[in-house]
Amino acid sequence: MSSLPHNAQVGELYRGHHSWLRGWLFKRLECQHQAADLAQDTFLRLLGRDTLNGLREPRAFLATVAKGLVVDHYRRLSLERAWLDSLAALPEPEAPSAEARVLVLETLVEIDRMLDGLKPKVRSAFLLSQLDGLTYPQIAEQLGLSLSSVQQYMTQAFGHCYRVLYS
Amino acid sequence: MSASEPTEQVVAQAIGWRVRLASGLAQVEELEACQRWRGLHPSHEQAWQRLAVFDGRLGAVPPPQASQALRYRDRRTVLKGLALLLGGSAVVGSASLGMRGSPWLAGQRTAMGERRRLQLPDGGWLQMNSGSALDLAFDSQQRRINLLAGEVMIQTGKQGAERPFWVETPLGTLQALGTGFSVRLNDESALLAVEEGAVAVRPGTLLQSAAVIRAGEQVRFNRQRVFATQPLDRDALAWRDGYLVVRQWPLARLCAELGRYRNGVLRCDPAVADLLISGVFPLDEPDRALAALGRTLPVRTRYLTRWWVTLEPA
Repeated sequence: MSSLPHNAQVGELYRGHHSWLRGWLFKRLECQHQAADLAQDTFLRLLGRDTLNGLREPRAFLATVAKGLVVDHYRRLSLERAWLDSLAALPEPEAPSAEARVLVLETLVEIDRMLDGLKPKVRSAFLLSQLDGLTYPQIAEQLGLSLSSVQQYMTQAFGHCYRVLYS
Repeated sequence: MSASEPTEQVVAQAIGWRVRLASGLAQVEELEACQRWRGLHPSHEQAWQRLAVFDGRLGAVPPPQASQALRYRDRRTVLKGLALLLGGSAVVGSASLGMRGSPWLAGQRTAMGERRRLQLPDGGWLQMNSGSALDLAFDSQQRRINLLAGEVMIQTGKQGAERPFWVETPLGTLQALGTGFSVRLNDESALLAVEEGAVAVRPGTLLQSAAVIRAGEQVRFNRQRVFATQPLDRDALAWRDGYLVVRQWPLARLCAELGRYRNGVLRCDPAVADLLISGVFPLDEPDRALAALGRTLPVRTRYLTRWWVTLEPA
């Protein structure tokens, strides 16, 4: 299929494997609508790619792309819940608009992805320092860590983010 | 490679500076030294700027809100997604997220809507209500439960019963005197309800003298004092069987109570907050309970999302 233009390649993949992909996603999401949405998103992702040349195992390839979307789907769900919980704890909680929700979740998902792979305590220490502005002694106390661990965790987290973003 | 592209060594140095200056312990001299270092070469400044990893990434989200959501997002949900992908069964266990001293790192924790029964080493058992957290410490000297959040019902056992049985809460300490009882922690006070035997309660520190509450009684206490003893309200214990029993409650109170069993926000429009309701609601399906309200009261549930629900006039 390497001779076809990019859009036509995606179109061919779509015709050949769309319903298979939907079934594959349904097994993992247990929801028809979500499966249909993510199948659609998978093909949209492909349109954004440079090339599909030399694709030998189209289904394995589609599954790889779709996997990323499923992980993000669950990530989004858990972040949305945590965020709404944090709003509910405010003195005068107000329901966010649908638009605000989309924007905030986009932001949170992005950052969550960046922090992927950090151990929970490293992640917490880093967030408490960089977003809450806590000092290391305060972080050490809150997380039950030694000062030198906080320092070590911060070094790890900065290095991790740098690698994720720039290499 | 452009002149400003930092080498690995430069990145490591920049990280060192960031780590030092974020500590809250840095001296003015260090700040100045860092500024000098940044000025030495464009690649230094480049590396330094790139490490402001949240700059420009937060959009309109207030940083503390972002921090909270990112720290408390349920890692188990994400893991579940991964496990489904791997085709295996989810290894979700009790992921230790969050902080020591806060409920999240407790030995045992129940999620919203979850109730869990545990066998105790002394032959007794305990049952945790939704959104509860506790630590267990049983050894040859003592039986100790540290209740950090939520509600727990305890039936003490007979093995090694000569060891004292303590339940510590942030508001005071209870000592079981051969017994079945429940403790519910609220923000300002706790409620102790005794079904069997007796429980001694000491508010605040151990220096306070104890009040003894007997079977068929319940009592509220805070850090300062124990309030007047009342007859046991058995309705309040029905959660053990998965029900919420309600007699002539204002709707706002029902909302607050059901809110303990589901994630997210459950709000009650002031226009309907005082409507009275009676009934028995299944705790495993709080949303069904909400939906049923519309049949007996002039209210409807409006879902903004699954986690943001308002009860409002129909």
